[in-house]
Amino acid sequence: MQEEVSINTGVSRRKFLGYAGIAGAGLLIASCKKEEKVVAVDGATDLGTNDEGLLNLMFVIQQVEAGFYEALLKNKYTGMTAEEEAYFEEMLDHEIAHRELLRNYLAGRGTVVTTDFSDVKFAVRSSVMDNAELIENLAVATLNEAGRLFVAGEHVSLAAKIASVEARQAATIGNMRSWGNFFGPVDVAGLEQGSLPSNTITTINRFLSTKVSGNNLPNM
Amino acid sequence: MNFNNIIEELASGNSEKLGKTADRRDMLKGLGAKLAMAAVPFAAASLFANKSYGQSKETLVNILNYLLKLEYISRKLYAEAMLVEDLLPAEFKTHFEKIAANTQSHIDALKQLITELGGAPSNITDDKIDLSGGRGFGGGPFANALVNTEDFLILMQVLTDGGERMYKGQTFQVLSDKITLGTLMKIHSVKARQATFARFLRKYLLKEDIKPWITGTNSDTTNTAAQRAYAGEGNTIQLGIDVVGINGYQVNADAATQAFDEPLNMIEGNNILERFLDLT
Repeated sequence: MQEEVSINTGVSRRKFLGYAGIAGAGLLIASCKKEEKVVAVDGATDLGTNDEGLLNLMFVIQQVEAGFYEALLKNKYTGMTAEEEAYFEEMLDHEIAHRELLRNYLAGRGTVVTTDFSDVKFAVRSSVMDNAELIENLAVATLNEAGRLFVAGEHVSLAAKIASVEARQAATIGNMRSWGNFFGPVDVAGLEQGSLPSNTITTINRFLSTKVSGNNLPNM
Repeated sequence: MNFNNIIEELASGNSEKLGKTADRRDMLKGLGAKLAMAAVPFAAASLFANKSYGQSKETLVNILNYLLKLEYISRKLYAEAMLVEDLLPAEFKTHFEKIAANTQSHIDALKQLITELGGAPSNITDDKIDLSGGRGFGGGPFANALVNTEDFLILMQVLTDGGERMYKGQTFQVLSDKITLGTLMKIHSVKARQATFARFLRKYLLKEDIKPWITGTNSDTTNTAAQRAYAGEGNTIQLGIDVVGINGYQVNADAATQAFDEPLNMIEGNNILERFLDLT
């Protein structure tokens, strides 16, 4: 294996391709091993494993996003334009659609969180925009990375269906925060950033009073 | 056990066994029982519903060459548009330079993936691209794309709204190649940002009533040739669940369609792209 060109996982591309078709099954099998028992960290709620855990992480993000727009519309900053308000209203609807879809799909097994936006100064436009852009960009990056971590094709498809809408929102917010800023997290190679579950959870916990952990999520 | 170990285990030991249909079936049967205990029935159902266990290199190369067509057409559009005086707003000159550079990067990335897979990247030269949408004869429905800003932006919108949907339609077709899948995802959201930018410019410069997101199958233009890029966008059912009015929330049909961008399959995508190619 060492003599071959390896990707950052340490598995050669050729072997990876050869076995990835059954690796999905391996991922699921792994969840049944005893050493993979869920371990709570500092009282945080573990999001689970495999596809279901990743969907659960998506569910948590959508709760934060919807909660954020709900809170900002209840505490409008001075000078919010009619256009801005209309965008926020529509984005709230989109996030509710995402959140409720995931809630129903997870059929009672999703982790319901309590949000905490005490770091956000909703009366101050710049604070709202900074945080909105942070959350939206994080959502896109998480979905981008989750795509290849999912086993089931329809879960990849769902992540992609939501990711591009979050990207539209992120670009819209980016432009509101700083005129002309549509492509913030696009790197020199023309690719958008990715965020692994571990990274996403660190950031998303800033907006939660009930913390979550993702130690058992796919994270490579 | 992490993903690495699983791959190693599969690679080292019983891969041949797993490769045989009968044994794979047995393995999946046993897996089904374990999954039920693990309370992830939908994941198990997905696994069994998935007809293919891996895509051949030929399939992957074919997909990547299909997406290359989109990128070649886009590259020519931006390159030519930047040469036309006053077509693009001077205020956003650097934006178009970045979009053009990113498009070239997408071409490079797709070509590299194809080469790594042992395939041959297709090469469509600019003289074989007809930006008017006239299939090589010129005078097509986008004939004014390099003449006036609105027509340019509508074509850009078709190639970015439609483009992100074409990428999306291939994400779950390349499941077995995680490297390709990761790249397609990360290009795909950039296309969505570009689409948002095109839509923004129509609103800001031309005062058109247009949103950053796609509502139903509305192409937001009277140019009927744009419509194919929006086919199927009216879907409100996701994973078998109707999103309209979900759980008593006031999510109307417009919001339900805006909230999810739908994939275009390769046939649908080719129907859009081949209009711009001289296939003679």
